[in-house]
Amino acid sequence: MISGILFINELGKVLISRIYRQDITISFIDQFKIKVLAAKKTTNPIKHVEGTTFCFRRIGSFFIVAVTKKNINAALVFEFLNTIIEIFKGYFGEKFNENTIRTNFSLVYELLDEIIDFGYPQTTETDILKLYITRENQRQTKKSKESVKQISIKATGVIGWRQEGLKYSRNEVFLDIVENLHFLVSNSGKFLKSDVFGEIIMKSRLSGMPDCKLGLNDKVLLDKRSGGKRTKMKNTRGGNTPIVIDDVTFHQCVKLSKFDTDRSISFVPPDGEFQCASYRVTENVKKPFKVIPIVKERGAITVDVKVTVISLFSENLFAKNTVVRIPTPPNTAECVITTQTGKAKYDPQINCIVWSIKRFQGKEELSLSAEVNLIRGKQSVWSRPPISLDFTIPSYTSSGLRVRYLKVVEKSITEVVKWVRYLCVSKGTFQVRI
Amino acid sequence: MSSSRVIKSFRQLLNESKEQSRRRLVIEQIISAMSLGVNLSPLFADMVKAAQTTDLVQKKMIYLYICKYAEENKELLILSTGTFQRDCQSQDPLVRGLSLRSMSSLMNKELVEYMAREIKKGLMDRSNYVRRIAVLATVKLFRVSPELVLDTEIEKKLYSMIAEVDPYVSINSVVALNEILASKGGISITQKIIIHLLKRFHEFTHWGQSIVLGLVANYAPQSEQECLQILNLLDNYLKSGNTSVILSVSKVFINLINDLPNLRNQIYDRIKNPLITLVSCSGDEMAYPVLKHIYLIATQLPNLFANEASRFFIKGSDPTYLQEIKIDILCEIVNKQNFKQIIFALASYVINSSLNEHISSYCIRAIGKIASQLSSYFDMVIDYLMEFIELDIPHIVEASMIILKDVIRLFPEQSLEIVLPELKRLSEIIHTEEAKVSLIWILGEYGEKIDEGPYILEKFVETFSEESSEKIKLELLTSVLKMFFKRPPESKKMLGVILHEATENSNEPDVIDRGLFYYRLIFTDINKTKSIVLSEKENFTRFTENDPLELFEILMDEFNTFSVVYKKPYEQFKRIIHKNEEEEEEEDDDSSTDSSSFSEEELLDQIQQNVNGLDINQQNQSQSQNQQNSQEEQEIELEPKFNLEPSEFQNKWMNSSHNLNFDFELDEELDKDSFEEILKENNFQVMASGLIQSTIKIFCYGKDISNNQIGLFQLLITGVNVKLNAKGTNPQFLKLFAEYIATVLTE
Repeated sequence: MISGILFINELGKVLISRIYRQDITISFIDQFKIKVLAAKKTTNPIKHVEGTTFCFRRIGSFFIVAVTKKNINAALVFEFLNTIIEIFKGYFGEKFNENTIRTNFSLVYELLDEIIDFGYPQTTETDILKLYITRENQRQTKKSKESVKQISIKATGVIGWRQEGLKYSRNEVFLDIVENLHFLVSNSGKFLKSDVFGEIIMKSRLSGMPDCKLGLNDKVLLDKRSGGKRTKMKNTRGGNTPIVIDDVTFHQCVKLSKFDTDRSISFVPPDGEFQCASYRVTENVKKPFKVIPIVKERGAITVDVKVTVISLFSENLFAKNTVVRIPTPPNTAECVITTQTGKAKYDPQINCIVWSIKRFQGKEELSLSAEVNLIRGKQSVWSRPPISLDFTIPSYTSSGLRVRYLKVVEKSITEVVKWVRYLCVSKGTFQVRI
Repeated sequence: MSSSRVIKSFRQLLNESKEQSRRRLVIEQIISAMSLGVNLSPLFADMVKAAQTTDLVQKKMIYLYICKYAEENKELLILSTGTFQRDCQSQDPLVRGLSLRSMSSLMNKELVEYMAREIKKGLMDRSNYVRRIAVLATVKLFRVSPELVLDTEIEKKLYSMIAEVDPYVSINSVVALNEILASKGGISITQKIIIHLLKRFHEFTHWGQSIVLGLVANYAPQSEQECLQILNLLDNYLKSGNTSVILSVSKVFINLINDLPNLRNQIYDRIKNPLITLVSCSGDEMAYPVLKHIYLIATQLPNLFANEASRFFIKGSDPTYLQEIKIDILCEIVNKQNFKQIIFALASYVINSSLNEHISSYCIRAIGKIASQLSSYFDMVIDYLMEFIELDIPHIVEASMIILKDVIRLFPEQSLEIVLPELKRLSEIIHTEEAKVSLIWILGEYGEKIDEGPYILEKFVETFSEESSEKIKLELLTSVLKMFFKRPPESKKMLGVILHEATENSNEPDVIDRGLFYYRLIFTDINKTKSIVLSEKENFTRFTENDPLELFEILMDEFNTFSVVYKKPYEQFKRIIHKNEEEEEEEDDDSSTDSSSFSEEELLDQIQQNVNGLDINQQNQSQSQNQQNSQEEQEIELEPKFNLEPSEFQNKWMNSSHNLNFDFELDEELDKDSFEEILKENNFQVMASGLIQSTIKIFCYGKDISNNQIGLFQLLITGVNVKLNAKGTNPQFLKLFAEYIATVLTE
């Protein structure tokens, strides 16, 4: 399986090397330096050198590299690297960099020893790892007897991702539905590509071993239900129109067999934050904005641009930090921009007019016009790349996905405070052709 | 580089640090230096001694150290067995587990008996944590001496442990058996085992699930019904949040197709969506192997993904390796319905200035490839290529001309109608080498069909002598000769010129050679020459051979491995491990030391600082310790009866490679005799001494027992001021030596 894990920085300095199987030697690290670090071209993340394979992921200024001699499952290696990174982030916080590794190297070794044995991934659940790792809390040199006992009980449990005996005085659940839009719209407003990638992120502080059940306005589910007498149900429940989910994946804790039989999402959640599900919707998605671009080339040296952006969501909502990037020809000299709302300026580095609007109310129409003056001379063809938008719209989903209910069942819990948030996000992935 | 001082300093710190938290810091520094690449092997005995601690944190680090340097300290290894064995009896399962894991990792022949005994005990341990470690330790034992594991109780025990309640023990037993029995084709996969594992599939971690799925993929179900059962059970796991699990399930499904051929399309349909979602939802690194798998499936089932073309459109933020594989996939899934969409997308990438040159050339090649697959649309492709050429961007023109040439070779009749009238214009706008070569080739092959054909060539011939590219010259020679046989009246003169230029005025041997060759050919037999030069070319329909079905089948067998990523069967890229590993290892040590460019001084400072950082809080203790410290610091011990002849002394004094001057003050004034006495007490040998005015001058020497170094020195003492001049061959020793002298005298 995995013969060794390396942490190596851009300069080729090895921060940590942990070799699990004797089929590789340290000299192979040099191969990595020569073939990957010193290579001028950026190579793909799987590099084969004389029977040895390096799979690596870059994090800031250093690489985490898994080395193997065997012909194994590449996805597993990367899933594993990702998991390692998550674990380390859990220990070191988001500031997981060369420095934190250097100062915590012994903890890193300790973790690497527990999560892999002889190249085979073992426990990777942070909660369980805490039981084995002595280092985390230096003052607590002697582990409480209870935790020692737990090691034996633990891991036997079917629920490997949750520690037993948690207790909170205030039980809370936060659900975040975050949708990333990947839209490509033609200049006449037709969808060329309409992908919504959603995530359901749950953060919970719940006592005991709570059974959670999450209900969505999933079409298959509602159709199944309404197959009987209760045809009206879908309309009575808060006007939920059912949506078609193309594909969905769940966290390990979700009982997949249950989802398969009755489309219900039930699970015992890990403590803290985790991604409960991710999904993809492509049908019947709503556009939060309508963009009307008019780009006319007047003669050889001027381009007239007028872009109108209309927000299609309810007037009670608003989009935060909207940025519209309108591309201009590569030989742009200057742009004379007029707009009523927001700030706009020409950015020569990305060859775009960047128009930012802090708060974009729903059902609003804003426009920008500009005269783009070009440098005379060698005429080159302008590929007319699309306009791209950044925005964040709270309380809005493009797919129309809604949480219908979230039930929490656990003897010791009397009251649960539940929070549900929706967020629709585009980071330049909402694009409009011009 | 010698790190003896570092080692000395560590050894001393280890010895003097009695308090646990301080020891922990010291050991931490040792591990830190170890990961920096300092060779700390000589500390082995000290570390083994230190392993007898009850502090688990220290123990873990010490075991890490022992595993790292065990190879180099084979003879000392036996010392550690006591500690290992004691720890295997510990009350704490963590200690038992740690000890077992570390001991088995040593994989040392000497320890094999201890190892086997402890492993057997470990397999029966009451803690599942220890049991799961013991299970994997059996593989390590197997590596050292197979006969202790194969066909023994251990093997039987492992089979029975698959049924254990603990999911880790169960999975580890599977992998252990798989490795131990690798020569027999791995663990024997019985229906019983498969049913057992699938029944409790949800209990396993993602890693465990992937391993079980690997077994299931190799399992031959006994009946169609069983196939369907497996299919239904695993279908849920296509929704797993783990890419590895999804790909592993896909592999099982694909393997089951052999048993359920009528479900082939349905099965592929089932895995299609999860795979597509994986591409968009995972990070770049993960998307790469997934796309490679999609590509493999697409080569055989292009229609499966045909409606999903837009998912493989590239994003500006994609790294190049993803862009390439996505374009490859687009080439495979193209059909009559999505043709326009795909070609349009590719064309827009070509002219998109935010993508790099490599990708835009790659797209042009892709467009050419698509033209070869869908011959009915080649005119559209040619239009695009002509447009690209007019952009006058060097790399685009270059790639487009090459592809244009290839398209003409594929569909000469139809495409020439479009291209020929444009040739003259093209000849004026292209500048790059490869593009010109392609154009000249087209002219030679088909130029006779247009009136101005020979004249375009003639233009090139005119500049032949100034041409710097050998490739263009060679191509031009051939094309002119071809033209000569097709349009002799217009080409005769040009042929004469070019042959003359090539044979008389060229510097490139190849050009001269070819010119001479043509020259002689023509004079030998002009008709034969014609038949050679204008020989019929075979028609061909594709540029590259399709990957043979065989390769596809092998790769499908090796689905979900690196084979698919490399597009090669495992046989072709595996390599047997070298026998001269030991040699390599020796090299490593050097290289690892070299590569980590630490400075010894810095390191020492840092260690000192880090360790002393603790002292600020514990001044009381550390003061007394510091005093001890200074006493123990001088580990120099001199040989009492060492003797040098005066001539030898003189010789050494003159020829010593290193020299060190050191000034210090004494607490009180002493006379010459008491100096000599102090020195003799400390086993220094006095060579000569004298009194010059009020300055005492002493020549002295000593030999260190531990490292056989000899140090010589001269003392000039005036009052309480001492000037020391020491000489020797080793600078490190010299420094220690000088410090030692100073301490001896000041006390």
